[in-house]
Amino acid sequence: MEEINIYEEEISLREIISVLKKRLRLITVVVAICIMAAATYTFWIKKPVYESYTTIMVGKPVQRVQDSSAPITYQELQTNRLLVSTYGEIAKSRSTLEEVLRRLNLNTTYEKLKSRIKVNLVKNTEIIEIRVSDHDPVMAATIANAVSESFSRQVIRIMNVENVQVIDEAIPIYQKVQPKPVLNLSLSLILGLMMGVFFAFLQESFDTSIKSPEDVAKYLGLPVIGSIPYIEKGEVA
Amino acid sequence: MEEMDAQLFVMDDPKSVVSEAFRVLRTNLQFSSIDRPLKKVVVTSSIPQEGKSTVIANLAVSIASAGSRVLLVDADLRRPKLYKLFLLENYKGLSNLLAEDLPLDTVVNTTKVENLHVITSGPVPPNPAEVLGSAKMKNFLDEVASLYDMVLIDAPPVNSVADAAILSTLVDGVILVVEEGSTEREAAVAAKQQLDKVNARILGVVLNKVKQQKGGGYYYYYYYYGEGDHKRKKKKIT
Repeated sequence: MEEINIYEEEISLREIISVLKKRLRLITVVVAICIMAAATYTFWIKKPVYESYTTIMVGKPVQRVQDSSAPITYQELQTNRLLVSTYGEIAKSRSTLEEVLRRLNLNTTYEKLKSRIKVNLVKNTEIIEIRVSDHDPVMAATIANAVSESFSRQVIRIMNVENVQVIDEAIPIYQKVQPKPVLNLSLSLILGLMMGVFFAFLQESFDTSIKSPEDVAKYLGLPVIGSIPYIEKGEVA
Repeated sequence: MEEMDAQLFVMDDPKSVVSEAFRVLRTNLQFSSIDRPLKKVVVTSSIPQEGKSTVIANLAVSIASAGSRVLLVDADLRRPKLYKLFLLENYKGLSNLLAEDLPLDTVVNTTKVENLHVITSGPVPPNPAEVLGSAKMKNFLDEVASLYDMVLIDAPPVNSVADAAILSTLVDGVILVVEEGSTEREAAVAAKQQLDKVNARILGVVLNKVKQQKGGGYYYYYYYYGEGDHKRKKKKIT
């Protein structure tokens, strides 16, 4: 009994491979279409996006610089760390971003600007990183700096302390962050292969023609007494 | 254009893979009737364009070249094809023979192949099914069966008209042509049921237009027959 099972399984695996082989052209076409679509999107349609960032440190109130006798206490440090997440939200707040829009005369909305701004809290530090993306690298840096400036002002207004310091000003970075050709193309390759194989089996399941002597035995219960090979007209085999 | 697809491989190129396949068919046919004499055989298919005429013509050539006297009758009175294949005129044929009581030798055509004679369909009658089902047709078949070693009859498709089913009751066996990768299962099953209904003796199926696997055409078929045996044996044992 076991022997039969092994045999049948071997057949079905062989069948799968033969289906894939037979529909190879279909699979190739689907893969090619997917890759072409992804390439078109990546290289022609999608505008390049650049990202620029500025880092800001929370803490170290300015007064202390003048009065350097008192050291920073652990208590203060902890407080600042807790404050960081609050500050992160302030950086993304509407009043901050609307001030940026006003100052830079940007022709966009607050929501759109917000979607282009990422505020990262660097873990276990008092540092906030503000990343801004734009189609123009210089503009990205300008906006990032404007955000950090109005953020400082907002902190003063809200918290009544001036304890925000810019570590790194944003500078234009001419490295595209989007589109990502390698990622897009490899994703499209995988997607195309999956779709191609799916279509191949779909087509195979819709093809109810008799394809082998086994089919004749299975559906007709008749013996095959001859197999005449297919010869193209004029071809001599 | 479709009519020109048919070819006489066996006559034109006896050493080809196709000719070899027809020789295998010829042998299988011989062995499929050891006890019952097999003289009159109808070749049909479920639907048109599956290659009936090509199969029957090449089979006829193949049997004739083995030394048997073969008569090939085109009983597809509606869409005759054999006369084109053998480059014959079709002014006079089976329909005249049955309708006008002509003597046999006035409609029998000789061919380039020794031992192979062909009767073309003749003009299309208004009532092909009746003509084929007539007592005259039966008498005609009995007569030619005594004159030839093998009478092969090309019939219209089973699923389209009743002709093939009618013919199959007058003969010793029926061969069903199935085009690989094209004939639908349902069509083939319907054809078989149709033939079973009239108690036809179906000798077997000829798979036509079998796609060859690259690099192993000739070998593949022989390997297949071997493999088939192997499989059956295996199932019996376990």
